Amino acid sequence: MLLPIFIMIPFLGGICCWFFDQYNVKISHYVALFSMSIVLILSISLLFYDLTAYISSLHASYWNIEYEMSWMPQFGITFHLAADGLSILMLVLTSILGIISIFCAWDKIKNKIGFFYLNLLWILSFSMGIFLSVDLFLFFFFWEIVIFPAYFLMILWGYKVDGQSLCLKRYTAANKFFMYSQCSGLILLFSILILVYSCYTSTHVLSFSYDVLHNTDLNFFLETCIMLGFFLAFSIKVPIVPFHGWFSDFHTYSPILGSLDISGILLKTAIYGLLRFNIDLFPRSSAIFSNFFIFLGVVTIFYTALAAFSQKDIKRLIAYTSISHTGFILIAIYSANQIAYQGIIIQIFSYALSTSALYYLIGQLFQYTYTRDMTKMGGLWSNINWIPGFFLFFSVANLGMPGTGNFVGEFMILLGAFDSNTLLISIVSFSLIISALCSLIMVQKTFFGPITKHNNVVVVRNISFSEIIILVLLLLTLILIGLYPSIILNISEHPLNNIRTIFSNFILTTRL
Amino acid sequence: MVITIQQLIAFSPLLILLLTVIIIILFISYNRNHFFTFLCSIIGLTLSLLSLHVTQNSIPIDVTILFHIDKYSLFYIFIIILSSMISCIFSYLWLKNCFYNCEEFYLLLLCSTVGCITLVIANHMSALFIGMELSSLPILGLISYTHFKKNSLEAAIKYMILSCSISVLFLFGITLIYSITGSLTFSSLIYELIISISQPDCILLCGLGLIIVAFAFKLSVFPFHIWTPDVYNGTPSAVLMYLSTAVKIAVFSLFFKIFIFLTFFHINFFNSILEIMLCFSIFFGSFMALFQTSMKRFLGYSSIAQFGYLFVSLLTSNNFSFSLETVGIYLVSYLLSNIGIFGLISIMSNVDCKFQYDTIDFYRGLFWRSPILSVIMAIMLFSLSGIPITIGFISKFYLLFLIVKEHFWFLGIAFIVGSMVSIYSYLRIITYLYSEPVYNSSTRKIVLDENNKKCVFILLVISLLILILGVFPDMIIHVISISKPVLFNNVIYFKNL
Repeated sequence: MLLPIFIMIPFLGGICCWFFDQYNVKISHYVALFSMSIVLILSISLLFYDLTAYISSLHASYWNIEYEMSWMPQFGITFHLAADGLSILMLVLTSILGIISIFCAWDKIKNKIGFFYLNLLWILSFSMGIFLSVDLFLFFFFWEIVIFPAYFLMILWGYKVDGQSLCLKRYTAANKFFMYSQCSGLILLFSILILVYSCYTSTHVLSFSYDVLHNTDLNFFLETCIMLGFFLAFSIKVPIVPFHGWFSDFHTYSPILGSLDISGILLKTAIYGLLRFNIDLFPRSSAIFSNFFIFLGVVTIFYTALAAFSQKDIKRLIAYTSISHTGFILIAIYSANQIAYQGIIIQIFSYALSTSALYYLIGQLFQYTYTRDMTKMGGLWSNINWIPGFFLFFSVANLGMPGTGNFVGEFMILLGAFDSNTLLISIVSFSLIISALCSLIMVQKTFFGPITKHNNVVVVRNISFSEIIILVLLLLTLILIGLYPSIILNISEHPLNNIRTIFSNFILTTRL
Repeated sequence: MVITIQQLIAFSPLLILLLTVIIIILFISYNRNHFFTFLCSIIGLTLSLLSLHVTQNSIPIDVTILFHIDKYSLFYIFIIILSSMISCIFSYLWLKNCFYNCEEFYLLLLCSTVGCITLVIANHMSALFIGMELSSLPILGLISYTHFKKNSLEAAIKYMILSCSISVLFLFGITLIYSITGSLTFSSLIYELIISISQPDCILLCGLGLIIVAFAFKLSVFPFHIWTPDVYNGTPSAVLMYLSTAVKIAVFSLFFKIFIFLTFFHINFFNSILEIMLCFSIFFGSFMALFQTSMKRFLGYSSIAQFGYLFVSLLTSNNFSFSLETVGIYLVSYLLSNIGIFGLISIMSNVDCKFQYDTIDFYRGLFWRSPILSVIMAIMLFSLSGIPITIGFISKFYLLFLIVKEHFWFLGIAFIVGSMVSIYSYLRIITYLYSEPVYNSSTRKIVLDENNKKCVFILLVISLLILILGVFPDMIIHVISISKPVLFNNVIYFKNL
């Protein structure tokens, strides 16, 4: 009964926020904060569950905590939630980011605050559903439904500048996001159905359950087709280079908090999907295509890092760099190396924290400068307190400075993957130089140099105490992960290893 | 010919409606009273809805040689009566404002309902023909009810000419079949098909082909879809609510019952014809819907695509019960969302008579003018485009499962491409709903009077129903799966022979 609570609390909390908005705006702030805090406390308490005690056999159910309820019996669809270490870590990350985004919204969003919290909390609730569901239909259900709140966040509170053309551009970007997501959803649904039906023809069990489908015998061609379908669906959401068209537009026009949610949470759902479903259900065909996928990852890293150079908009720049980080994760996933797999989880955690901090800071900057164009900024260092310093730290963390979590993640991925794919990984290492250059240019253009004439910063103000607290907490967390990564590694070791061992067996057989 | 009490009871929904029609005729000739006529027709519809409960015990049963009533037909009679009831309620408000001769409207609507029910329970070619004509001829009157408007008369004439010429072809088809089988019952047709299964008779197939043409016309599927956008454009939305749901659903339910046999006995000619019709109507409907500026034309094109999708269910090989469920749930979702969206347009036309309420531009910024209406409309559009937590998604899920089950890979690709395009076109309208209003004239809030508020309440219930059935489809699936036509048993029997 514990697991549905994770979905129910933010869901109901969102409705409450909307409801109380009509009476008193203050209440809905506190309701949102309160419900997310409960979720955070619960998810952290899950970490202290005895996660080591389970059977690592293939056929037994290896979930630590389970909840099952009948939903559509004629299709064998159940409301089946389950969690292992990987999902629990994702829950913790989601709830931390949720609290950060509520703090972001605290005094920035002025109109329809209740409805805003409704959308925000529903994104959190549904993405928790994605991380917890082990019934493929349920997974698909949450996967599709999480689009709506994100879509509404964007069209109602998106980046607003006077003028109709910009407004229309915002809608175009939102529609683009929606269409890409729908494409990915339809392909996913189609592949799930093919998988379920072929399982049905061989075993005469009609079920969408992950545990059942796990043991399906497929012929090689069919398995490859389904695997590619899953991969396509997830890679649109990750995003990987040929399908990244929606991503930068979405970031440009979405509200600051929206992009925080997207990069922090929604992207992670696709990575989670790749790990949980693509590798685990189809290890054989994934192993055969692994080199190709690693190549795609390399292309993604270089293409987006280079594209980031040409951006004037800070948010777009950060969006491109965060695509390039997902390229690293893709490489790690398909390298099937133990160290690289540990790196994935560190990478996910630390990049989520550092990029969301950067988005948060950009939101602050926007309040003072009313622009996100880097060519119109410059020389802000001496005009604004606190923000430039934090910005410098987080952008340095973003480029992977030793001592921060990002360094550990990147290092582990490169170290682990070097073993299996020496040439490509050596090439990838050079991308670190490009991303370092990107970050430096960003900081230099924004904060240093002469004050440009476009610059209309007049008020130099100290940021509020609570904002500093958030930023300091993020900073300390990043350094903590950087200096002592074992806190995360200990939890994620078992589930990730389970996934990896199955996969690496196939990798070994295909390479031999 | 002796008619037993049992048969009369089974026939009662139709009899009650006929009685209501006669009562209304009498009222009109003695004393015109709009409210009273409305009340009378609603009571008649309710009674016939209730009589379905009594009928349940005496089925399956043959009522003379013409009709056959079973659980399958009860389900669709229920849908048709529901649709006609809601259309009555919505048209009451619309008629109250503008017309002096409102009473005949209900007369025509009820006549058409009787025709639809006849169609659903028909077991004989003559009943089929009568039902087809009776359901569509009163519609002509309804379409041209606003004959003082330019589009309306054009729509009525277009529909009349095309519909009549198709009827002629339909009759010709029936004669061709009669010339081979020597009888007009469906069972003799099926028997003839079965005994000539290795080499089907050419004339028989021609006759069947002509009947398919007639059905395809009524359902506005690809080569015979040309009337749809124009007729939709000129028809008042309360009428359209009825025309697009009750008539089409009745026609399709019969179409499914008869033509499932063709695919069952693998008559390849018909299979490939159906496939071509299906693909083209999906593509044509969804692509043309992209470029529309009028709401009604848009819905017309989208309904072409919708029936294209539904035709997939006719192509099954041997598991009928699954495609039966598919058809049932698809038609229920089609009914709910179409009633909802046309009801909304109808309310809009009551509110703002002087605005161009059927252009898509009119709905720009509806969210800022009336949040509740825009939420209802968004739910309907989401359901039409088949997005989770709406019943539209469940029906799409069924269709996809059917495609996977029957290995129609080509159709699968057509399905995905078509639904991507149509999602985009629905999304365009949804974005319009939430964008800031541009024109000054349309920025003020929409104020509803007391009666309109009741209608909005009905729409709210429907949209809640869409959401609830989307999350818990079990209730409706259960009802559909037990309402099998008796003909199905015959199929299995014949197959075993």
